[in-house]
Parts: sequence; structure tokens; C-alpha cells
Amino acid sequence: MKIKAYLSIVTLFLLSFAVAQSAAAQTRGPSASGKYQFSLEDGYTKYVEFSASTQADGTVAGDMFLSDEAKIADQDVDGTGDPTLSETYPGFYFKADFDGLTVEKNQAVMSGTIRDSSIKSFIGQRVLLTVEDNGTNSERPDTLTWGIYPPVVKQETPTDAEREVDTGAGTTWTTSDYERKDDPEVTYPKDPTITSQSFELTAYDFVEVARPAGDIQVNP
Amino acid sequence: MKNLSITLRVVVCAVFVLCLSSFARAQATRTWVSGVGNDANPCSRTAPCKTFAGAMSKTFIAGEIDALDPGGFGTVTVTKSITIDGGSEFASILASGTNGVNVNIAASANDPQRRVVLRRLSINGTGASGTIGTSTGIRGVSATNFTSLEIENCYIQNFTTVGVDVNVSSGNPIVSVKDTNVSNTVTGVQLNTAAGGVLTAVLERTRVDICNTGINVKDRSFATIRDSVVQGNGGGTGVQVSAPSNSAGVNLENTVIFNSSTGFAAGTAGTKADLSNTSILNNTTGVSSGGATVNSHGNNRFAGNSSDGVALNGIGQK
Repeated sequence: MKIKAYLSIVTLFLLSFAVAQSAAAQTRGPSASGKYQFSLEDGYTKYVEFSASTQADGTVAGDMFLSDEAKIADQDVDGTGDPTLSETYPGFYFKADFDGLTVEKNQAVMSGTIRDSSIKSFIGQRVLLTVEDNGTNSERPDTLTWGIYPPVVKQETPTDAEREVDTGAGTTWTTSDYERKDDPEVTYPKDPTITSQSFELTAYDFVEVARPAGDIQVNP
Repeated sequence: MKNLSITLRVVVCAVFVLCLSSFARAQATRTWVSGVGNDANPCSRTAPCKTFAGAMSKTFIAGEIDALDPGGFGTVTVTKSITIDGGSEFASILASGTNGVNVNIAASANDPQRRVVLRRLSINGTGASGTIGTSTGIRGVSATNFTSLEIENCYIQNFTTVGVDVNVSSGNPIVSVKDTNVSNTVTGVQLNTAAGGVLTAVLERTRVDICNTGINVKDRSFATIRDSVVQGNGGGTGVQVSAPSNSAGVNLENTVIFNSSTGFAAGTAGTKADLSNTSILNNTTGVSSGGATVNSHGNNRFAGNSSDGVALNGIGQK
């Protein structure tokens, strides 16, 4: 009886240890998180809250929330007559789920899809959040930038309208160096979907934040 | 204790100055718009805005808004010194039922230049009236408050009143219109300023056509028009000085005015008119005058007019 009890205790101990190890392993990759309030010269308060981490299987989990009090006055810039393109919004928010994360030193780029927003047309659009963790540097506070991008329109396959059985011409091709056996093939056109690797990190212009409050953390 | 108080004051002042400087630099000097942009973005190159109006509030004073790609970017009211550049390809402003670009920059210590540059833009007032496709835009550019306005490489067309309307209430504004086409408006370009001010303008390599009045130079405004074409203004006037009780003037240099009811209408006595190397062709009346002396440097060409109009005052060349 004593032996059984002893074994049970040891088993439970080992099990709990394994579960803890497993949980730690799932979030061992690069991660970024933060809660940050700031403003631009327009004077309106903007707030972002986010968390993204690389899982053990290489996938990325996390989400973000961004709100901005600045007014957005949409315009029907092409004169389509669509009344929804002429609305004015007294600020907005959106929530997005992340599916991509790229971390380099103190900077991180997160990509995802907007799932909820006060502006309905934002839902389904891609979003990038790029942050820079400057620690306790008082001269250069943590900073960030973001972008909303329309979903990619699928390219159509050209077909011969006069032939019912025409399957269409291919619209993708691959290239490689014929003289080098080790040269990897590159498929064109490249996937235009916005991801955390769509732009080089150096391409981002961080906004110059005013009245920052909160903290951004990037863990390579 | 006294030292501590002084130190505290210095620290508070330093923090205030730091806050102020970070506040003043919290906008980008260059912003971007794109056909796939979004006004919820910060208008950076990787996250451009959708409209010029959306980018305006995110661009620092005397900054620049550039178009990343061709597209329609909406009407805009300019409230600070700014350059709006359509980029390597034209950017469009569709202005159905409204003005394309309003320029209204209030005097401000933070904006001493009050200078606006509009470059490589197509400003179009076309629109629908029921099932009829027509012009519904009011003014292409309406500039009422600024110090310097430069319009370069722009197409401005289909407005029910004026293509470029400069009507300033104070100051001595300077206007430059260069390499620009203005067509299908009631008045192509109109210049006017209030009492106490003088407006000077240069129109260079500019074409104005299919308007009722091509170029109308009004009160306290002085325009030099060179290397330009004013044509096809049907029953109206190609270029006119219209300042009944105020001084105004026009210098025409190497310019062609043809196919209007009156080619050049000089104003009343006291207004200035000077023609050099200019062709006035195929008008009903070549030159008319409300009393002003029209000076000629003896190198102008008149042909095809039903009447060449008033006699010119030859002043020769130096």
C-alpha cells in the first residue's frame, strides 16, 4: 500500500514536471508583447495592446487591439456612388489575430488578420504591427508603426473562350540558375499576401510618438 | 532647501521642454498615399494613407505628401504649408459637386512660409446630374489664404465656375502656375486680392482652353503670362484685365491667344497691359480696351481676327 502511494506521488510529480516543461517549450521561441498609449501631433490618443509568441511547432499565436480617437473621413475617391465610401468615423478600433512574427534584435514585426473592428470594411484585412523595444532609454522611447492592407485579389487564369475544354494557361513559373545544380527554384509571381516578412525591417518608418505611456517588450 | 527648490524648478523646466520638443516632432515630414492605402495608417511608405485629406493631419508643417502609385486620392483642404506631389504618375482628385483643393492657411508662428505646392495632379470636376454626365465640381483650386502657391504639371478640368481661383483677403500673395492645363471651366484662371495687398502671378507654359474666360486678372493683381496658349474660349475672352477701380496688369510674352470672341481685353485707364512676341489670332476682336493703354514691343503677330481691335502703343525694345 505504501509502495502504491509512493509510486502515485512520484508519478504525479513527474507528470506535473513534464507538463510544465511542455508548456515552457511551447512559448520558448521569440515573442513580443506590450501595452502602449501614445499620440501624434493630431492630439488624439492612440492605444495598442498586443502579444505574439512563436510556438514549439513554429506557428505564431497572439493577438492585438488598436484604438485611435482620430476622426476618419472616408471619400468616394473614384466616384462610384457607393454611400458607404463617404462616411465619417469619430475614431476606430480593431482586433486582429496574429499568424506571423519576425524578431530581430529589439524589433519585431507581427502580421495577422483583422477579426473585429468598429469600421466594418476593416474586417478581413491584413495588418502589420512593427514595434521597437528601447528598454529604459529616456531619449528614445519605445516606438511602433502599423499598417492595414486590403486582402489580395486572386489572379485569374486566362482561358480560351472559344474552347470549352481549355483548362487555362499557367500564370506561375519558376526560375533557377541552370548552371548551378544547388540553386533553389523561385516561384513567380511571389505570394503577395502581407506577412511579417513582406518588408525588410529597415523599410519601416516608426511614428514619432508623443506622450508615450506603457511598455513594449521584444524577446528575440 | 533653497537649492533643492531651484533644482526642482530646473528639472520641471527641462521635462517641460523635452515634452514640448517631442510633441513638436511627432509628425512625419514626408507621408505617402496609395490606391490600396488606408487612412487609419500612419501614412508611411510601408503603410500609406488612402486620401490626401487623411495624410494632411499626419504630415508636419512644410512637409510633403507623395503618391506611391496612380490613384484617386480625394479632395483636400490645405491648412498648413505643404507639397502635394502626384509622383512619377498622375494622382487624381475627383471633385464632383465640390472644390478640388482648398487652400486656407491661417497665419501662425509655426508656419511662417504658408507655402503650398501642388504638383502632378489631375483635378477633375466631372460628375453626374441624374443620368447626364456633366461637370459638377465648383472650383479646381480655391485659394483664399496663403503667401505662396505653386501649381506645376497639373490638369484641371470640368468645373462649373473657376479652374484656379485665387481670391485672397489679405497680404501680398505670390502665385506660380507652370506646365499646367486648365480646360472646360467657366473661367480658367482668376486672380484677385483684397485692398491693401498686391498679388503677383507668373503663368508659364500653361494652356487654357474651352473656357468662357481664359485668364481673368482682377483687382490689385499683376500677372506675367509667358510661353502659354489660350485658345477656344468661344463667346468669351482669352485674357482680360478686369479691375474697374483698382490697379492691375498683364504682361504677355511669347504667348498665343486664338479663337475667342476677344483675344485680349485690357482694363480701364490705369491698368497695365504689355504685349511682347505674342500672337493674337482668329478672334472676333484681337485686342479691346476699357481705357487702358496697351503697350506693344513691335514684335507681335495679328492674323485672322475679324478686327484687330484698338491701336497699340508702340514702345520698342531695349
